[in-house]
Order: sequence, then structure tokens, then C-alpha cells
Amino acid sequence: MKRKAAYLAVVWSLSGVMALESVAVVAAETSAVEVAPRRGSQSQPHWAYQPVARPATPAVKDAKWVRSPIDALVLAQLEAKDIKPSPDADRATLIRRVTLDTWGIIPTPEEVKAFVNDKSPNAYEKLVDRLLASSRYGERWGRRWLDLTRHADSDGYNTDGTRPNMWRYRDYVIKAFNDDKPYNTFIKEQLAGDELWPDRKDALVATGFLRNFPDEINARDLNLKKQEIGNDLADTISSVFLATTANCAQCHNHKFDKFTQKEYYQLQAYFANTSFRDDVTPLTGKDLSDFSTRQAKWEEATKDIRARQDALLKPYIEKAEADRVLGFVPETRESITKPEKDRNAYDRWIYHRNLWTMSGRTRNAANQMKEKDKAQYAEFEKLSAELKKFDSLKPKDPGYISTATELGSSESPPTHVLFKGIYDRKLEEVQPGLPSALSAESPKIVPTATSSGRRTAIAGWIASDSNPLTSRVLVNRVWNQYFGRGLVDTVNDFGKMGQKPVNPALLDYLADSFVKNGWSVKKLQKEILLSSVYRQSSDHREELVSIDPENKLLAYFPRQRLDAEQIRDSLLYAAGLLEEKVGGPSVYPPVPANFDNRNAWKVSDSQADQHRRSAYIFVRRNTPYPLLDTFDWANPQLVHGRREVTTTAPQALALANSDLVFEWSKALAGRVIREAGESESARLDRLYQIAFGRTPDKSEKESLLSFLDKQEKLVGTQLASGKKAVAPIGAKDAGAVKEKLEGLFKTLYGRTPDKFERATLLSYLDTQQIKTAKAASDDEGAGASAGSAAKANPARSAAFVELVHAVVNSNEFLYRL
Amino acid sequence: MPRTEIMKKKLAHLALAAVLAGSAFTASGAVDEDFMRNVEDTFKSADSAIGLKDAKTATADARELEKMFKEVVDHYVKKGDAEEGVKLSEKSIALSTKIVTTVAANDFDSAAAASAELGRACKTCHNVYKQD
Amino acid sequence: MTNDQNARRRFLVNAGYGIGAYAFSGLLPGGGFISSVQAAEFLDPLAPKQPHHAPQAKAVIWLHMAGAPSTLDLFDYKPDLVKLHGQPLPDSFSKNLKTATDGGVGALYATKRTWKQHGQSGAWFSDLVPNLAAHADKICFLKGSKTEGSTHVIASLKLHTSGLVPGRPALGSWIQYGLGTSNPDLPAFVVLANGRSTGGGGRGQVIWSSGFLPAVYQGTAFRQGDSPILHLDRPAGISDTEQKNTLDLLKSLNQRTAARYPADTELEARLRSYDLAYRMQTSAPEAVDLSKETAATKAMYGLDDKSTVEYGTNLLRARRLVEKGVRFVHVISGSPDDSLPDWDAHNNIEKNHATMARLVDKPIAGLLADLEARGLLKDTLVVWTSEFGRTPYGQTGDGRDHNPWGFTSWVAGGGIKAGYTHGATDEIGLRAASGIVDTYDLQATLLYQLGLDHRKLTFQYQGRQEKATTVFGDVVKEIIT
Repeated sequence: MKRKAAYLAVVWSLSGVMALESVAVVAAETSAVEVAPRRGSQSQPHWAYQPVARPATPAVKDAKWVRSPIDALVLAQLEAKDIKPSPDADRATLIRRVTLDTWGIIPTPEEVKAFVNDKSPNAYEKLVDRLLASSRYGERWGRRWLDLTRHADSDGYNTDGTRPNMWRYRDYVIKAFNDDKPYNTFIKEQLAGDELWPDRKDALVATGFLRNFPDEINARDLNLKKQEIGNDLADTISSVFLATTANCAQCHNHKFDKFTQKEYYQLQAYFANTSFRDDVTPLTGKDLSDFSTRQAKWEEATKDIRARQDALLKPYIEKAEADRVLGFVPETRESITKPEKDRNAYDRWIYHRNLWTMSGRTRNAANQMKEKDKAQYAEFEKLSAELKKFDSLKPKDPGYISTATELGSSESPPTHVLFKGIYDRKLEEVQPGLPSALSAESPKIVPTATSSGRRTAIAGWIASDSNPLTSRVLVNRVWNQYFGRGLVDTVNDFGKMGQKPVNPALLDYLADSFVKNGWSVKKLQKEILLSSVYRQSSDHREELVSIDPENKLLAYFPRQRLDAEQIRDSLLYAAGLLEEKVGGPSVYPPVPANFDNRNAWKVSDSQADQHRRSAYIFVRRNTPYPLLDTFDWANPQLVHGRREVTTTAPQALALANSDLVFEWSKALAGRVIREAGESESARLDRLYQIAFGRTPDKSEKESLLSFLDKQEKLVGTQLASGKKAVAPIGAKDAGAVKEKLEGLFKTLYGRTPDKFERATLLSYLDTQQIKTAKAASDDEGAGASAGSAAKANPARSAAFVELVHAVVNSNEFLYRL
Repeated sequence: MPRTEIMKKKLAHLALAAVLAGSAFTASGAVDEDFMRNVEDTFKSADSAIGLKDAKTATADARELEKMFKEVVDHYVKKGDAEEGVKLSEKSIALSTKIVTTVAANDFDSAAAASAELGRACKTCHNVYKQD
Repeated sequence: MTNDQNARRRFLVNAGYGIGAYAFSGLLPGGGFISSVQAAEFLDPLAPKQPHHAPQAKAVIWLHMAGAPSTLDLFDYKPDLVKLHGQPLPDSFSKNLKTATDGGVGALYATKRTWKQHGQSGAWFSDLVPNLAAHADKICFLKGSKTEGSTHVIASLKLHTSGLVPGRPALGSWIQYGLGTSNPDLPAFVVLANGRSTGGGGRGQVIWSSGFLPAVYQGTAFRQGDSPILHLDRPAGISDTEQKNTLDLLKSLNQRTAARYPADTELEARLRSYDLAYRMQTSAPEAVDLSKETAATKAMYGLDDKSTVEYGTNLLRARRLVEKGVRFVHVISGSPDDSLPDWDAHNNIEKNHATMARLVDKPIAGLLADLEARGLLKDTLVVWTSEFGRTPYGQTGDGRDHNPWGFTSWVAGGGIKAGYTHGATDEIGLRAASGIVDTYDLQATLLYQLGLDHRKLTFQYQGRQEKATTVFGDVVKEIIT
């Protein structure tokens, strides 16, 4: 038998991103399925820069299969190679697939059953509509947008300090997807929200897209820092929206894409005056005035105490301030020590950025005092205690918004071409302008009273209906996510070094419809999801192995390993532990004991927070959450266009050995027992329904039972020699026990327990019960007999937990087929 | 050579380098840092094509290199007092030509050897003229 | 391919190497290009491969002095600089010097150290490295080392990947690609970060990335402590046999799925990755477990001293890894505490280098002695190097700036001449003046010692035939025995 071309890849490392994409490129180049250039000769503009042209729907032989023009366009290519498409997947497989793809979690057995039994002709369309309407959709698709934005809750670089406001941008993105915000508006808000809608808080939050650059707060050379941020912004927007790799042109003319060095800096010039603030209040209207009133009251009441504290701190702050200023390189110092009236636009940027390095100085000064003058510090502490007494007057801290800003001035600092990209080797000055390969003329820039208007100009051009790249790039990203491969394989590079589209007509059809449908991402997705192409079975077809080994033409549905969030969220959901709260500050679920950056990771106190969806997990830029990272999670240092799929031993270790996954397996075992009752056969059915969306057949059941028998025996022996049994969690959350617990909680706390509190108590009760049972069986002097009810048999319960653990490690769970 | 001779020669080299460095690539128009990067990119492309036995690309690139190195020769001649630069860029033209002829003869081993030699010429020249 | 290799390959396949999802081409060392169809027949990228010529070395221990030490204060003794101390840099040296950072060019700054010649070779060492000095006759100094780029990021990338921007494979990746692994239970390319700089000497993963090579060749960063990879311990309360049974059940579940998709190598790889994971539970902790090392060995590496215990532990681990067949161990020097970042002494170089030299001196001396005593030095290349050196002129009064133009690296073992000095800087130590060794040359030489020809070790990427050292690099024959 001929195998699909592949290489053995047990990847040792915990993350590996770049290489596989390039391998795929090499492979694509040598593939048998060559796609001829669509139109014209070499001298015509590159395909990606030509206007989008809606193709005619091609005539196909198998017209029955065609549900939409997408299908006709795919089928035409298949028929040209004499390939038949695959039939629809069975309904259980389809609902699992589409739920994972839109929500990022597996469907419940009830949802599967309802869909399988829905005889109405539009059953599937109803399902798709229901999925796209849920807030779970935004949690999945918003997270994938975040992949592109180098979003993180921390700075990166060496210190990797926390950015306390960036969760608002994450929530903005999730909401934008849930609201089906038109993509062109979405672009404008992210690039120029502060210029276009300065009074709308959500538009300010949207510019978090720009704010996401990695940074070192205490940088000593702010002139260099400004240039680095300029590079980041130019590279990010060209990569995210235009799939254009501009960064090579930073140092020299772009070898392949005719992107000149001058044009690169012209692109940067759109952001020359872009600064950032992290201190904008999120409050508006009455909330804001209430807050201000209360704050003023508190300030008035504490005026004297605070003044006395400030007086104590003053010498320390002054010393620190002198050191701080001296710490900058001379050129930076020059900009920040100028009197305000002498500051030009460039100095203004540097001066503003310098203010960031003051953060924490009161705390530092107090620490200095503590070290140097104990008596004085005692006095300071006394004042702090006094101050605390006024806390009841103080309004609740509403936090802040991070936003782009041009510091109230429409005047931009000059932008220069830089020799070899070195920030202080300035060559000619340039004005904002678009690369000639992409646009014949540059948009008009209209300054506002407080801003240069430059970002509005470039955002308008990117988001215009006639920009051929913007729509193509987005539809390709969506296609890539559903089919594991874009129509253009190099999702971040539509340039000459990138791949040509495998189905250019389909790409243009999607791009054209997308714009015509008002840039609606949901409509685009609905059309893809309803297509026959998407609904195809993923079953193996031997004859395709040689004709289209990489399935570029999509004659069957490409099965895919679940991505990092799908794995974690589905495990939690299956276990009944997923806490579905939308939005809010990021959470810190538990990390392994030997996790590198443990100190910067204070595990959330609340059980509920520990079980939130992965999209809400705090992103420490340099050390992403390990369980996600192991499964090829996005690298938050850069624009991450495609989640790779590696197959590694550390992944196996994570699923087989992580205490978290094992705890979730116990909870899933408990849920199964709770829902299926005493019959072991019913339990196995239920487990398979939850995990795989189907019931096990007879032979599967036999092998599962034989595992239980074997493992029970082993565990029984171990228990006899004093080992503690592992046990399902929450198996008894029903009936009398549940009522008792709720009664107890009501009496004690005046409320009902949440599901985690309930689980903790139930698990405690289970342990007690096992102890009792063990004592009982010890008394009998014989092991429990196999086949008897599991509740009385801790060894069999333990075996069941391990069976569940194997099931959630299996490929059938970890893949969507 | 006595030690002082070596020292003198070394210092002369350094002085020469000091005069030419930095300004060499930027001051005189065509042959600048970008130009040299283009040379390097073209050279890398040629070297790759030789490895892949892609005669068409290798020949085209090597022809381009010949032209480029001619400009480099002119540059150093115009500059004056840059014997080493003239010598090395002339050598580079010869090596580019050798790539063309050996590839034409289907002798990719010799072409690869010429390419390696060309890499050495680049580095030698950089040691004298390229200072960062 | 010989029968042995076939058997070996079958073993590896059966033993559970994973199979990636992507078609793969261009696997053969020596530039042999194989199509994706042929690649199907060549399933294991980590199987041992034939070198181009008989190797003199099997492994590299790469002692990466992140932050750039001043070799003018360690190995490169410059009496002229002492004489010229306090004078401005002579015009003949300074003109058009593109200085590294913004400190400008200060006055010439003489070393404050005491210097002595050591060993039969009479190599100079400062008093910062007394322990290392005792091994003078094992070392080959490259005193005309040179590179490009005056920022840590760029020069670090060049040192490790021969590129100035991220995206190219590290030398360790190329070696693994060229030679495969010789121990299927351990990664062939391991990174050991020290102290605070766990992020890779502040330069990040890009310096041990596999770049455009398949991700399988990427360096694996080992964690400190007993468990070098996360999740090596079974869940609490599960015995070994219990886990084995569960994994057997898992295998039978996965075999069912695999049977439905006979062409899917990725499913099969995942199935097998559990076998390897199971073995790694034992092999990985064992590789870093120092409990079987004698007290004398531990003392040799400075494990009995607070200031050297962490770096010493990494070097002792490096030796154990090399012993077990790991090909490339990249040890990052890091820093002992918050008082300094690494070797990057723009100011107060005396304090910085006293701390940093103390951190590395004894452990490295211990490593050399231990490797020799075990007969490992002859085929292990110990490389001491950094992204660049530091300037002979001062900065901020008592520091030194970055110097890519001339500095010292050294190599010991692996068929390199011992007690030998190659190359020199000019009389003040600013620029490499003779025996110039660029990073490309250093890499080419190391590859050569491992049996690989840097002109023949190629990989096709985006239509280009790529090489470890790009189009540059020459083997420094003068230093080979």
C-alpha cells in the first residue's frame, strides 16, 4: 500500500511553529497537482493585486451534489481530474464537526440525538444558525483573531510585566464576532478607532490591536523603542490584513515583491504620530460622574494624610527620578528634558513614552524608605493605616482602557528611510504613501483637531470594497480554519514568495460575496458550512492517495486534530466543569509544579475561574499557558496565521500524566455514573455518547469490559496492600445528597453551592464512602466480586476512571472527523 | 618579514579600511549597501541553483553577478586608493564567468567550487571594506 | 541503504517515533533531493544517517556566554592597551567606527586584571579564570574571531543560525538533520538555560529554533530540577502497571481509528507517541539525575558551592547527555541573580566579570577535566563563544561596549589542536587582524569535525537550496589535528 507522503515527527520541543509551514510549502511545490497561473503572463501584475473578479459558476456533471457556487467551483476541479467528491458525513459526525468548528467544544449527546432525529429538510441549516448565534461562537473565532494580533496580557521582552487592560480588547474582539460586526468596520475601529470615534469607549478599546506590540517598559533608548514600534506596526498590519511580508524591506529593497525600502518607511509613516495610553477611564455618563463625585469626596477627606505621606516619600522619589532620567541614553534624555514648549512632535512621543517608566515609583520609594529609615517608615505605615479607614468612601476601582492616541496633536514627527534599518542612520525623509504594487495612488489624509488622520486614511484604504487583498486574505483565513489549509496555503504571504491559490476562482467567489454581503463574516461562514464540500465524509478513499495525496482539491473532508483550546475546553465541558461566563479579566488556571514561570502565575482562587474557557486564560507573552502551548498554541510574539499540528511525546505526556486532565477524567467518570445509573453497559454507552457522539458496538464494549476486569483485579491487589484508590468525582450529585448539600449551604451561607463547591463536597463524601466500603470488604476478608454494582467496589470505580482517561486520550476524541 | 614590517602593513591596512569603511557604500550612488545586498541575494540564488543543477537560473544569476561586480570594480577605481577592492571585484567577475562556463559544460562540481571561492572573495573584501 | 539501517529504521518506526502530518522533501544529507513520493519510503527524520566523511567528533557542548564577555579581560592579553590606557582611541582605529550602542567611544581602557601564562603552550589567562587556566593545554584559542552586527539579537542570531533575522535553523538543528539521533529515547538537541535567563539568554527560542527545517529538529529546552520536561510523572495514585494497562487500552482504541484511516500517518504517529512518552518518563529524568555521580565529580563542577552549583549542574548534565548520545547541548550562561543580566558589562565591568567569571570558571574547568578523564573529550567538541566581544575603549567610565570586529572564542576536544592559538587581534584588541574566523567558519569547522561537509549539507526551502552557513564559511584547517 502506498502511504501518504509524510515524515516521522515526534517533536520533542514544546512548541514548534515555523518549520512545518515551510515544509508544507516545499511539498506543495513538488506536488502532482499543479495549478497554472490564472491569467495573463509574467508581465501582468501579480495575481493577488489584481481586482477580485466574480467567476461564472462552472457547469459540472454531478449537479445534484452542488448546493452552492462553492461546490460547483470545487467540483469543477475534481471533475477535471475525474475525481468524485465524497458523500455527506453521517449526522452524528457532522454535528460534532460543525460544533467543534464554530464553538470549539463538542456537542452534548442530547444535541447529537436531536439533530440525528430531526427529519425536517432544513435541519442542518437550523443547526448552523443556532451555532452561529451562540456567544460560544465568538469565544472561538475571536480567539483566532487574537492569534493574528500578537495579543497578550503582558509586555514580553525580559520583564514581561502585566498589562492589566488588554482583556478588554479580547472582549471587544469576541463581541465583534458575536455581533457579526462588518469586517470593514472592524478594521477601521482597530486601526483608527480613536481618530474616528474618539467618544466611543469600544472604539478606543479596539485600538488595542495596535497596542499589542511586545514591549519593554523600562527601555533605556526610547528613540530605538519608537522605531521598533513603528516596525512592528507596519509589519503587523501588512501581514494581518494584506498578507504581505513587508519586513524585509526594512533593511533593503524587497527582493521578490518589488516593495522598496522607501515604500516600507512610507507605510510606517502612517503610524509616526501614534502613541498609546493605558490610563483612560472605561466609565461614561452617570457612572463616570458618580465615580468622580465619590473619588473627589475621598480625596478631600484624605487630603491631609496623603500630603503627609507624599512629603515623606518626596526625597526618595526625587532620588529615583534623577536616576531614572540619567538611565536613558543621551538622545532620549534630550527629548524628555526639554521644556514643554520646545518639544516637537518627535520629542512629544518620546516624552510621553518616558512617563511609562515612572510606574510603580511610589511603591519603590516606600520600599527604599523601609530599607533606609525604619522610624520614618513606621510613620508612613501609620499614615497608611489611617488612610485605610477611609476606604469605605472610596469608589470601586473601575480599571482602565488602553488605547492608541496621537496626544492631541495633528502634527506627525518626520519619517526617514533608515540605512539598513538602523534607527539612527537616517536617509531621506518620506511622507505616508502606499506601495505602488498595491495601489496607484495614496488616500487623502485629513487631519482632525487632535490627530494626524493618517491611520484613518490607511484604514479606509485597507477596508475599501475595491481593495483586492483585504477580502481575499480574510476569506482565505476562514477557509484555512475550516479545512486546515487555505486556498492560498501561505495564509500570511500572498506575495510572490507565497503560494498561488489552489482554486483562484473559488477564492475570488468568496471574496466577492463577502464584500457584497456587507463584509459579514457570519454569512461567509454560513455559506461555507452549508456547502457540500464542508459536509463531506472524511472517510479514507484509497484511490485518492495517489491522485491527490495532500487532498488539495478537497475530494473528502480533511480530518484534523483538535487545537489547543478545543482539547482543553471540550475536556472541561465533557467533565461538566466548564464555567461559561463571557468576558472579564483574565483568569489563571493551575499550572504544573515545575512550570518555568510559576512565580508570575498566581492561580485563581475561584474554582469557577479555573474552569473558564481557554480564551479567557491570562496570556503571559513569554510563557503561554503550558497545556495550550504543548498543543501548538499561537505564539503571542508575532502575527500567527495558522495553528500547526505537531505530534509530540510531550503532548502524550501532558494528556496521560497531567493532574488536571486526570482530575477532569474523574469528573467525567462521575458525570457518566450520575447520568447513566448503575448499569455498567449503560455507563459505557453514555461515555461514548459524550466523548465521541456515538455508542460503542458489541466488540468495543467487550474489550472495554475486559479492561475493567483486568484493571479491577490489579487495583484490587494494590488496594489490599494499602494503596489509595482513585475515584470518580461527583458521581452522586443527585436526589437526596444534592438536596442535603443545598440545605446545608443555605443554612451556612444563605445560598446554594455553585457546582464546584458541590463537587468538592461530593468528592469528599465519595472518599468517605470508599473508605467505608474498603473497611467493609476488608471485614469480609474477600475482594468484591466482579460484575456487582460499581458503587460498592472501589477497585472497579478506579478502573472506570482509568478507562475514561484512556477514552479522552484517544484519537477519536482528539480529532474531528 | 620582520615584526615591524608586519605592524606597518597592518596599520596601513587599517588606515585604508578606516578611510573607506562606511562611506564606501553610501557615498557614491549606485554601489551602496542595498546594491551589495542585491549582490549577496543574487549570489545566494546562484549558489542554490548550482546545488540544484538548475543551469538556467545559475547562468542568469552568474551573468547578473558579472555585471554587478563590474560596477563594483568601477566603484573602487573611481574611489581610488583601493587596490584590494579592485583586485577582489575583478576576481569576482572572473569567478562569475567561471560559473557560467562550467555550468555550460554541465560541470556543476567545478561551478560549486567557483561559487565557494566567490564566497571567500566576498568575505575577504568585507574584512577590508565592510566595518559593521 | 544497508540492511542494518533498514533494520534500524524499522525498529525506530516500531519503537514509536511519530509521523507528522506534512509531506516532507529533501531529507537526505549531502543534498540528495527526494520527492514527496519517495519520502514516504523514508519515514524517520531522526534515524542515524551516514556522515559525508569519517567524523572526529560525535557531539558538541556549546558554552554560550550570553551578553558577550570581554575577552580582553580573560584571554587576549594586550600590553599595548595597558600602556595606552586613558588615551583616546587613535584616529587610525576610530574613524568610521559604527559604535554599538549610544555610549560613544570612550578613552582606551586597560584591563585591571593580573595576567600569567599557563601550561606548556604558554597561553595567557587573567586571574578571572584561574581554574580554566589549568587546562591551557586542552584549549585551542581562536583569537581572531569576528562577526557582524552590533546588537545582541542580530549577532546572536548570526552566531547560532548564520542569519541576521529569525527564521533560519540553529547549528544544533542542522547537525540533528544531518546525522539523526543516536539515542531514540532522548532529544538530539538539548538546551540548558542557567539562572535567570531561562528565556534563552534574553534572545528567545529563535536561537535554538529549527527555522525552516522540520520542527522535529528544534532544540528542546530542559527545565531545571528533577523533571526536565513537563508531566514526566504519572498522575497521583496510578502505578506503573496500571498505567501500562491503560496505555494498552488506549492503543487498542487508537488502532480502531487508525484502521478506518489507513493512509493517515499522523494518527499512527499519535498512537506511537504514547510509547515514546512512556519511555521518556524513565529516560529523561535518568539523563539529568546526578544522584549516581560521586561527590568528587560533583565538587569538580562546583556543585558544592552556592555560586557555581546551578551552572555546574547544567554542565554535569551536559556531560551525561553527551554520554547518552545527545548530539548538541547548548548551555546558556545566564546570570546568578538579579544584580546583573548576563556578561553585558556596559558599566562596572569589574563587578560584572568577577561575578560571571566565577559562575563559569570552575564548572567549565570541571567539565574539561571530567570529559578527559572519561575519554569523552577526544570526540566531544567543547565550544566557548559569545555573540561578540567587548571594546578596548571604555564606556560610561568603567564598562566596555560591544565589539563584533575582534574577540576570542575557544574550542577544546573533538580533534581540534590542543594548547594552540590561532589568529590574533590588532595591538589594542579592537579588530581581528590575522587568522580571522567568522561565525560561518566556526560552524563549518564544527560540522567538518562531526563528519559533515557544510557545502553538501543542504535543505531545499522555498525553491532555494539552503546551507547551514549560507554561501559563506570555510573549514579552519589550521586548527584540526
